[in-house]
Amino acid sequence: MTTIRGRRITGGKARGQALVTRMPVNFAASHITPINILFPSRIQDRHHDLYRADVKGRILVLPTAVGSTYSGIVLQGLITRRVAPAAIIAQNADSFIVSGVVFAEVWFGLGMPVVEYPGADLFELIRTGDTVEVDADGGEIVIHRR
Amino acid sequence: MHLEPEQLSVLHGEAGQAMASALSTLVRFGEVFGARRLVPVKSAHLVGSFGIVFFEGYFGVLDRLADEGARFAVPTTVNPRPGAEHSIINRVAFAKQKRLDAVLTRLGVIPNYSCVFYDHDNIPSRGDRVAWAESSAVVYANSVIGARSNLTSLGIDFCSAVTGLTPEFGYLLDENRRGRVLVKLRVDRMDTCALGFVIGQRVVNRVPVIEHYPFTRTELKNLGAALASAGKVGLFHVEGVTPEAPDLKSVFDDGPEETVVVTQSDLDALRAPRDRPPDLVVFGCPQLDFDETVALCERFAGRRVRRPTWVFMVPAALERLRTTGTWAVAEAAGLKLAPWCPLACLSARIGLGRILAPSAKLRYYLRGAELGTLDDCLAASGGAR
Repeated sequence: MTTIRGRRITGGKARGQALVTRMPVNFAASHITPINILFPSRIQDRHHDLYRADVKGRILVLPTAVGSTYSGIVLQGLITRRVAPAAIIAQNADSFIVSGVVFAEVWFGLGMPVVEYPGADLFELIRTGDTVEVDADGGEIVIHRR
Repeated sequence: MHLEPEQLSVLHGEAGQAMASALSTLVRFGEVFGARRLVPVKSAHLVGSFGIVFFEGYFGVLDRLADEGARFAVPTTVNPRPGAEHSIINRVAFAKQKRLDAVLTRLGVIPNYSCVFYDHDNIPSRGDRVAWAESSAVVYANSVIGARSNLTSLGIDFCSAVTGLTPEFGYLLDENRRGRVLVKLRVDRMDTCALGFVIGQRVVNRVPVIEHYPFTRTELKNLGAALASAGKVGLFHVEGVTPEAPDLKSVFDDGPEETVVVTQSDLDALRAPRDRPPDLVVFGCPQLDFDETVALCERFAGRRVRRPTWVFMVPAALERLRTTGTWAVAEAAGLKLAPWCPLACLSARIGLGRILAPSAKLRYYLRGAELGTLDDCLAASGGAR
């Protein structure tokens, strides 16, 4: 068990299996395709190493978001349809990630914990499949190795 | 964050619950990025123009604003429509189009329905603060015009439009507009789409400064669109070309933190192989304006397209083109002119053939799309090179 501490971006607690990528995520390319009408939480970005991974209930660990300004509403849509990641841990919690989560909180009263951890060791500390607990209010991340 | 008295009263619900939520969204969003205040903007631009069937959630938010009597407080333009009428499958995918159009009209949108609006319907000046979404327009405003906008997300964009405010951080502040990465060009045949894609992938989220090259306006537009889609670049400088980079010395604080060299082979590696012809050729992502469309159509004068060839253009430019001789040239050549967003229009197509387009953005987002230079695309579609 390892505990690390990051910065709270939005509050809340979550526990789940980590889904880790070193590639920035383009949420619009990932979740706005015809396939997503049936499988909203499946990543459909064919340029990405998480292609076809399902984010629902996972602790999504990523460097940052890139791409379209549609991104915010994509995250909001996943949250309000209850198929979002359980939490996001980002090296850089950028405006695309933050906008979607804040929008869901303010307009729908539904949150998702987001913690920023800028350290370059993030992808060594957490690997896909590890069980991760996030307590975003204190910025605390507990990692149980698979 | 420090709020002015009138902002506080909106936050406390005096302009209605929906307006309070709009302001609260901006405050909570801005506080994450250390914004100290909300500042007025000259205009807004909305990215959310697709009535995508599964986006019911935020359409309801727009309804709540309109139902409470909210209206856009600053001139507000909007991105292209998706072409719901183009096919049966588009009608299903964009089943909410009329609903979205109706609520945007109620809120007082300028119905330009284009991603290229910064020299027609919504024209900023150097130094103006604006709240724009649509990454290709934001990067153009910041870089080529010298206006100031963040890459405003969908949701934040219309909260800014109804309040006329945006949190002050990011590209609104001088210190975030300085160069970070120097880009040296070792290129014989310029292809701005490929160049933007290569630089974007290498500089993600940072401000690149490209050494002097005499880019045209159209090239700057395509370069920015590629930088934004590949690397979330919202601002770039070109030495001696863009307004905030008269020379290299004045655009960097202490010199570049990194230097990137882009070679001809980097650009060529992104080009689609020329021995496999595409099924479809697509021009116009970002949309072509009037002059760009006329120039393109002239390449097809007296010719006939070799395969289906689409030209996506600014709607107002399409209407204007109808009144000119170029319209007959395009019709005789068999070019399909459309006032929509190519990405949305073609993403739900049945039969996923290969698409060739001079657009890094389409290459990134559209399944089956590959990148060609303008000459590659003209050759594949039967135009004169």
